[in-house]
Amino acid sequence: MPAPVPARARARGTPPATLADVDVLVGEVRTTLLQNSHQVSAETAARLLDLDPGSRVRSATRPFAHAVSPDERTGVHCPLVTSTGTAANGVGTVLARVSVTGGVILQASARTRLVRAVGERRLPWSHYLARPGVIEVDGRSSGDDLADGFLQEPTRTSAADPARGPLDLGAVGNRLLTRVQRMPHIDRVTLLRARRTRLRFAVTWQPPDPSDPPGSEEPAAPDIEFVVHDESLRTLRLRLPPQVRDLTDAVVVCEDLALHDWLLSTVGSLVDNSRIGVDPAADVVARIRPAIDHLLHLWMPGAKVAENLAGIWAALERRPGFSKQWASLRGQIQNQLMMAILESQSVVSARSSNAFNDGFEEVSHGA
Amino acid sequence: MIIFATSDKGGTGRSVTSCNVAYRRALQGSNVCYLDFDFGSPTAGAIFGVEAAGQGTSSGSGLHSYLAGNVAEAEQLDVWTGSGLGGRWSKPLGAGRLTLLPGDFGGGEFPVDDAMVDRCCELFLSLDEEFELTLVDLSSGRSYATELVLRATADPAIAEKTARWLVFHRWTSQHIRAASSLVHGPQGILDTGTGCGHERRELEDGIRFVRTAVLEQGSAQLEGLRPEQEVWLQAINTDLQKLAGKLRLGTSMMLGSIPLDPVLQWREQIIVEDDISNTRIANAETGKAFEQLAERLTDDGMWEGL
Ligand SMILES: Nc1ncnc2c1ncn2[C@@H]1O[C@H](COP(=O)(O)OP(=O)(O)OP(=O)(O)O)[C@@H](O)[C@H]1O
Ligand SMILES: [Mg+2]
Repeated sequence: MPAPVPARARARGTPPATLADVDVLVGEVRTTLLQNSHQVSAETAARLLDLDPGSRVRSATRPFAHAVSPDERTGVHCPLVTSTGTAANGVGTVLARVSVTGGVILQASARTRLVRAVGERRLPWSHYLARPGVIEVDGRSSGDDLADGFLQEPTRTSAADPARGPLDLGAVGNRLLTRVQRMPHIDRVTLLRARRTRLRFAVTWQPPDPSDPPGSEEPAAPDIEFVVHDESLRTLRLRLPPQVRDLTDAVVVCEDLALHDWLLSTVGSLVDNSRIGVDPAADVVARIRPAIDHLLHLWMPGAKVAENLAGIWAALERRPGFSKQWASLRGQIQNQLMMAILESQSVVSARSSNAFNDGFEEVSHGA
Repeated sequence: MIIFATSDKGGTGRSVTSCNVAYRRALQGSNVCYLDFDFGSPTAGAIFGVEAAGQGTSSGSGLHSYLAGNVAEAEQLDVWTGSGLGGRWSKPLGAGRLTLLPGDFGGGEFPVDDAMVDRCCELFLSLDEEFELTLVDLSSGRSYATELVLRATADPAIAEKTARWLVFHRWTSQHIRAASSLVHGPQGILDTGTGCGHERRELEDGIRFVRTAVLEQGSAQLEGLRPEQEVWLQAINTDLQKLAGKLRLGTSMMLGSIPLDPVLQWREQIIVEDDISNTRIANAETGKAFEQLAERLTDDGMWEGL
């Protein structure tokens, strides 16, 4: 992605004489389980993600196995949703990539930067292709208007004019997921039934604080709104300090958050539906088993996140408290494992005490 | 697993039975999704009592629009929370998900093209990630919907999934002949399927029949018949059994038989426990038959090749 142009400083409260710059990073992450009966090796992951023979899949083994496809470009020309309803159209390209974590979790993320179009006229495609991952937006909408509009649940495309639906980054990512799930290198036997979750994000930058001395080391705290809408949709609105400019880092934070949110939702609903307290613990454990075998060890929030964005995870750990929820789930699972062991022992001891009683009865009968 | 529900004739009770079976299966703890592929008359919304999709959805993103390529994703409605039937529909403890993918309001049949088959494959694969059971209600007869799913299930990635077929028919000689012809006859499921690349034998092993609205011998509804009527009925029933056996839909090919129920005769709906034990408007046998059919969908003993 090209180096971002810093947003022009604008004094708070005074209306701008000319239109302010627009600089919004928007994206959507879709997370699901790779359809295979066991976790895939690094080689298989690399083959699954090899979307473009021209570029290489990047892989890492620490802190856990992780492989990412090269970015894929998609050209778009579509209306953009704004929170105020102001009309806006965008032309440009979307970047999307897909990744496999721990050999089992499949994620696709699509993102683009919204910037204001320079002129009124639409330029030849070569102009837009030269700026991958940027959409130029016409109209008079502000960055906040576009960011908030993007996070709204899109109104359904009218069947009459399907080609002119609003920017749908989720669909771009979904196509990548489906493409991977149809590949020949996996057996499509599922470890457990899990929902595909969607995390839609919009990032803007706080205006530089004039009271900060230039080049100040201590970045202001990021402003974060994370909302869980239903079982599958989440939105994240980030307002980053102006010093934190790396877009790729920001996307990594969103992918990492989506991954952990998916782990929490998936293991949570597995535990919820495992009939704890109703069925014997051994049956409960059998239901939870896929999570124990394949998912629990993948919890490492923030492990891939850049230093200057660590504040985002710190804030999310305070509220909604991801790791606290995760610890409670782990606790529940451990209790069931303990119970299963105790129950199996009490069956054994009940059998041996029955044997003793039977023997005793025989003796008394004989007497 | 994907289950296709079909019938040769319209109005056999295919949709009502399938919806009730999906409901029972979710109660038994499976995550179930129900796909309304009866593009001409999508009724599943009304049967489940999901107001938002009574005669298909008006959102513009029903299955018809999705398959036609008008929208990127098909709408999904949660039946437990979306049903207008009220409080008794909150998801019971231990029940699985019950999700409806409605058809479009005012949709219709349409010819199948390659892109549509591809979208159908993607739909089945992505639903299989989340649901143990995908139940697809097709249009009756030799329809485009049937051709579409036969082509989709021949795709190598989908062919790895277990797909099973339920052919619904009433217990009359015309219905028996029609159901047999839909499977074995010219341009029937086996012919068309073989043309799409399916192994005839394998496809046939995945087909079973379901009798609907059957007046069971010895049921309360038959009490008070004159002796002549009883004798006549007995004779007819024996003839039908012979015919069914001859046309390859005898008892060994039958997965279930749903008794005629007064409630369903008057209203297309889900029969819930309350209808049986509290208000007592529906018969317990009907509920049992749905429950049993739901269990048998995945009971491999019932699906052994003959
Ligand atoms: N077991 C039953 N007892 C009595 N009536 C029934 C029974 N099953 C279904 N019916 C009734 O039969 C009628 C037709 O049922 P349904 O709409 O399910 O059929 P269908 O095969 O899906 O029809 P179509 O081809 O029009 O989609 C409905 O009025 C329904 O309530
Ligand atoms: Mg019907």
